[in-house]
Amino acid sequence: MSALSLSEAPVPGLGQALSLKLHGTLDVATIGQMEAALARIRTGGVAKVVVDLKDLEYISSSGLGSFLGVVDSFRREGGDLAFVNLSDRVKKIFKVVGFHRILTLLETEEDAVRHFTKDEAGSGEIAAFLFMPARNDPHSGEAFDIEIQAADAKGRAVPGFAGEVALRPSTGIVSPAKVGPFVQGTWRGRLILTGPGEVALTASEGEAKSEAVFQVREDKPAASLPLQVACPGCAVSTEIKAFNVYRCNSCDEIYFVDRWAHTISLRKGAGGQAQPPRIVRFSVPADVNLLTPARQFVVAVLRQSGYPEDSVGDIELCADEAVTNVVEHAYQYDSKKSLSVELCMEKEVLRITVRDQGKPFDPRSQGPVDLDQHISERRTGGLGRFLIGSFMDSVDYQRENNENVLTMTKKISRDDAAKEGKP
Amino acid sequence: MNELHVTVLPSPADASVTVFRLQGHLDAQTVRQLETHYESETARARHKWIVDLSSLEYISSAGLGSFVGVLSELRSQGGDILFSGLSPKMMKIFKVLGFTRIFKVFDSEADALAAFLRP
Repeated sequence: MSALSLSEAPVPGLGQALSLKLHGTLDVATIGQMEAALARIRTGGVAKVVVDLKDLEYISSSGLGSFLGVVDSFRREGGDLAFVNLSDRVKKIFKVVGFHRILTLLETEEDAVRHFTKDEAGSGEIAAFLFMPARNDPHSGEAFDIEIQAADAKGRAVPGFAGEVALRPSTGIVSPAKVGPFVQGTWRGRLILTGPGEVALTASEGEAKSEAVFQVREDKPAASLPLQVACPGCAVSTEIKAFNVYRCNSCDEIYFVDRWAHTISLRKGAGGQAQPPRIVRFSVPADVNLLTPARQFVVAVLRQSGYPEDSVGDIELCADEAVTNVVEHAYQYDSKKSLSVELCMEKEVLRITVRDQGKPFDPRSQGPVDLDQHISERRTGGLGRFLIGSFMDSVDYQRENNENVLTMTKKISRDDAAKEGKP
Repeated sequence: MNELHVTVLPSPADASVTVFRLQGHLDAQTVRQLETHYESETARARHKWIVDLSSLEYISSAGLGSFVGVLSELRSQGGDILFSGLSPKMMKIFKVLGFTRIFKVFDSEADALAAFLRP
């Protein structure tokens, strides 16, 4: 019988941490349960987890493998999984597969507390923010340049901080009210305060909090309309006829133009950082030796754009299958030819288009695979098109101007909340 | 790591069983390397194979197709391919293709070996 039960508890002496006890069997049947529990903990904002294996009776190789996959997502958020109370048998298995070099294996929960608190001192816990405004006396409603730096309790910069910070004024309005993500522990951008009079601006993130005082002056005369403004995202210039919110036609940046013709980016990540591209195209020689780099490129683009990990895996596979088909069938291994791959990332739909100038070849699935027939005919091919048909929502093939054009789409949402914010 | 590493070894418990441990990426390029191992094993009349995927990071249809292509030869000689160590992602692909109906899949290499040794 294979059953796993999980129990969670806070860890004495550690805030923002949890202990997860595993009882029973961790194998292919129960991995999903463990992974779901850890994913829920992580999305709940807890990145430090003590995994207690005291009551784990059995772990299979797939169980071991799943830890490896999960630990990465915790480390990316500055946390870790600390494994404690390993039986001698489990310890030996971890050692045989070399995981003792990758995973954090400790004896007791107390060791795990020490491990995590040492981490905090080393990486620098943020405690305060340093304000470096271009001026302390902006006009009411007028955007001014400012730099905000994350600092630890001793006022030292915390370059590892990459979060967002909420802003709150003692009176009037601040825009934007949330800034970030910080890059190298710093955010540079523009703010607007309204007054007039003294405004105490508080920046806070978790426990960290700081205040700066501004002497906000009376309005000054507005700029005259119409006028040319440069998009803060891509610097393409546009004529505007009103002081309003605009969406850039070139790069999709959403920005506000104030009455003095300052532009204020309303996306998170404001301050000149590039947004993830919406359309990415690349060409590769039709050579199977380049399959791995092509896949790595696709995976990197999708991850950077905030797609969930399981869809990234599906897309990686379908892109590989489509490119492999072109190399084998349309070009028949002529590596002097090349093909292009385009990823178009819309809000709810991802579209991949693969083009080549080879022989006409329609790679759409012809229905389910008859594996028994494949086996008896000793066929090695023909599975890829079926995988594409299964993992994508639609597959379209056209022969256009002597080109094969394969368009595959899948409905998936980017994790835009983390990347863009709402205007 | 772009390549595929293949470790081929007779099972410690029974030398008539060959274990393939795959590590890295198995795609249309690297499958050729794996297929040369198939040929040398069948040439030595070893037809019982355990293919362990627990260290394999990626597999495409080219790799999967290679198992389909060699299967009837193995089975006609009283052999088979048993798989072990599939990640949930690979399990999903196996299910989509109907591989779980054709191939036996085990948690660990040891479980697969036990299945071969069972009378």
